[in-house]
Amino acid sequence: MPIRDIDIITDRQSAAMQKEVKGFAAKLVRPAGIELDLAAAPEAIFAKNSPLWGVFAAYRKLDLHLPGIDEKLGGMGQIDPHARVLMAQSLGHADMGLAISLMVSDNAFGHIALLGDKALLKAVGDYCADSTSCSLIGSLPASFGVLPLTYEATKGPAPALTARPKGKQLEISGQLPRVFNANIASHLITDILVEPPDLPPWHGLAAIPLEIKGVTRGNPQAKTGQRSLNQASLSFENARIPAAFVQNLANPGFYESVERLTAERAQFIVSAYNGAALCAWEEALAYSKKRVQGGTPIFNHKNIRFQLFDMFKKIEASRSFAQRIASYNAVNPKSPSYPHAAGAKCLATETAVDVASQAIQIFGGYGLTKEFPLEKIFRDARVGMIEHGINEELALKAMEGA
Amino acid sequence: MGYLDLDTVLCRRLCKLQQTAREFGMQVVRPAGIKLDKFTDPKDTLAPGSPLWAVFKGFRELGLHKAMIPKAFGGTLGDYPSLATPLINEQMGYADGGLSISLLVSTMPFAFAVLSPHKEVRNWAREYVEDKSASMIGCWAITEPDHGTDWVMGTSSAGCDPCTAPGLTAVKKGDEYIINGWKSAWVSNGTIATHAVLHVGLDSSRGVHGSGIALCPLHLPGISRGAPLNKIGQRPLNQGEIIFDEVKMPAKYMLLAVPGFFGANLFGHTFLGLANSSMGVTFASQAQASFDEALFFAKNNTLNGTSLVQRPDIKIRLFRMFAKVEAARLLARKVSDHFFGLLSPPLVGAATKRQITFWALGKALNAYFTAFDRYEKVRQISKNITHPDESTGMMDWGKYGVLSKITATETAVEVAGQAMQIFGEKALSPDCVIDKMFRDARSSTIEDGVNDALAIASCEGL
Repeated sequence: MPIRDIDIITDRQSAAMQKEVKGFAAKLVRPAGIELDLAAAPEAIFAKNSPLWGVFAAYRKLDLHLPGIDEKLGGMGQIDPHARVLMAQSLGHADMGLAISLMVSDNAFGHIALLGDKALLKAVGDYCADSTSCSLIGSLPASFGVLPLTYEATKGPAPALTARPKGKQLEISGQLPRVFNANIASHLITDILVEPPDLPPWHGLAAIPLEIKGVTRGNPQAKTGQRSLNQASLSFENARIPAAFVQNLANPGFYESVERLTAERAQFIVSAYNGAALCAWEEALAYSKKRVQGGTPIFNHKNIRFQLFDMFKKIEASRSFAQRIASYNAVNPKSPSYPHAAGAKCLATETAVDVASQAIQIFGGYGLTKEFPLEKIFRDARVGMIEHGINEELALKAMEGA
Repeated sequence: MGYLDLDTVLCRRLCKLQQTAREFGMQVVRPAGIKLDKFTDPKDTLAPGSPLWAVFKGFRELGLHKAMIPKAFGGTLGDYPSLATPLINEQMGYADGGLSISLLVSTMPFAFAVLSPHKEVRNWAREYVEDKSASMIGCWAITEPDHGTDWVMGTSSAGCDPCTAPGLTAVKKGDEYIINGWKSAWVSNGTIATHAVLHVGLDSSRGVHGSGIALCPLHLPGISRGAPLNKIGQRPLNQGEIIFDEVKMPAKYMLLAVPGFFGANLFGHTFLGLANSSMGVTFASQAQASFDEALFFAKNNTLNGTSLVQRPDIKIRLFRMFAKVEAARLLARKVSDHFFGLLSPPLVGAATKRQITFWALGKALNAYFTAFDRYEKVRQISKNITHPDESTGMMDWGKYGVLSKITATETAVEVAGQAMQIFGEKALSPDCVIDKMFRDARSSTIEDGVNDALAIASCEGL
């Protein structure tokens, strides 16, 4: 008897959407991820004929970039939180790098919508309507992980970018390393230290259109895993943006809205890694039924079944954690729990690495080759234990207020 | 940085050998491995100017390839203490896990050749010793596409099940064996080797136990190779398929013509022990390399203004890594020394000058298997044994090689993973040496037998 799916989506429309995501992920995202992983140079990710563009366009045609963005701006508003978890999971199941790339863009535009400036709101409207050209893509620095910016503002290192007021504009200088989507994005959301001449500096959130003067995009970085995710440094030399493109993170209403988006991002990251783990498990299960060793499919060997069950149990634990946080966040959108987000992130990434590794072991030598999907899933998953906050550092931060 | 060498018996000659290997490893092998790892198409690693050849040639220039060839054939086996080979493997593993395996495997057919009753084959060993241009490269052709890790089962009683029989078969016709079948893409040095230790099925009714060993030159008509394997780790290590299509191999190249050598017997277990214990030494040292990188990084880097090595949590992690590495390293060296000790005195030591002894030894080995074969048949009939599982292993010291291999490879994966976490975001670049070490280590828990299968096979001997 096949293993039952015990996920529950109560809203019918959301359930239909999740079904669409599953199909899109399997048909488009997965092959694109494999192709981009094998590309020799990181520039190939955003070449004209790259499958990346097909993925972005199809994603938007299905309106998958709309959930979370206000209906008044052309978005979809909030949808079934459990369905969102499963959608992120399906994308991670197909390709971790592209899943993060798509999510980063949506999350960045979610932030842009919060800033409230007219020009920016128009950009968000365009983003929602942009389903063919994909000329609007958002980007985030690698420091936008699962922990809130407010934490970084008080205890972390100072933001890498500084802004000095020049009339009604702000002049930005500094360098951001390893920005997600840096070479393909039209807009960047980042934290920034605003230094007015006579007042104490304050920590703000800025939206920076990347076509302006003074912005230099670095070379795309080669990576061990998640190679389909574009990453590069961005440097700013006296780049000017309107002062209204920056808001103080300490503003009461604004701060809570940023927290909500951080929680959304964390939820996405966690769910995508759970998807990667699930994918490795499904591959291992299917392979174990095909591969004959010692005169019988290896599925019939007790130790293989034991391994498969061990993987199943770990994945379900991590998936349940993600759904539990989603339920809580749906009810308390403005006060997410960061120890829980950090815990789920560490559990999900470590589960993905463990499970992918166990799956490789079941595949034997084939698990190590480029002809089978597992070595890629393993590399993609391994990146997660360091990206979005190194797991050990997250653990230390999460326990600080306990 | 200080390791205390707890082996206080290292003589001056061995220390010098260790030093030579260390310098060659760090100056030639490590940088070559890093370069070779980056080639996207593994075919390019074999181009004429590739650093791979500098590694092979340099290794031979220093005479390090002689360690497993007896003194009577110009080698240094029986001349140096048995620890010589483990010490060289340690240094090569520390420099590059993949290349270390390539160099080690390269000697195999020539180390076996000394046991051949035919002078021509025995002479390969001497030619190999003198070959500085790396025109002779060996491989160990055992694994098959539909028959991978269960070869390991051959060292247990389960290996007499006919369903485990090799797919590659050798059938004797007159003075020749007709060979048909495939050796899979995991054969190390598979596409560059000139000679192979070739495991062939002689009697399929007896499963893996029904196999024999040939020392097969790979230029024979009907032999073709696959493309070099593209894989996650140990990318400098050439691996690829060898395909045999109606190959007519002269009978003199068959070293052990009596089925049963790879069974649950002394020879099978020595074989398993030698191979697995060498893997153990290589990857325990590879774990040490990961640890050293992490320690160096922690001493020279800060995170949010604090020196990493000053943080208590990092200190705990580093010390636990050190403890694991040293435990694996000491175990691996001990076990490997034991297995190479079997080769050295008294057999090889007594025969350092006399090639004829090896001829006799080869003959004796074949005679031993013939006798063993008959004994087994009589025993099975007399005790009415019909199910192979009822046949028990004679010797089971291969488990020590397996113990070393499992411990070392799993330590290598764990320690490299922990080192990556200390490196943080810097570890994610393919230019970072720790990323490569992690990928290299990951391959090792499958290489030379999937760890779980090795455990199953060896549990019988507990």
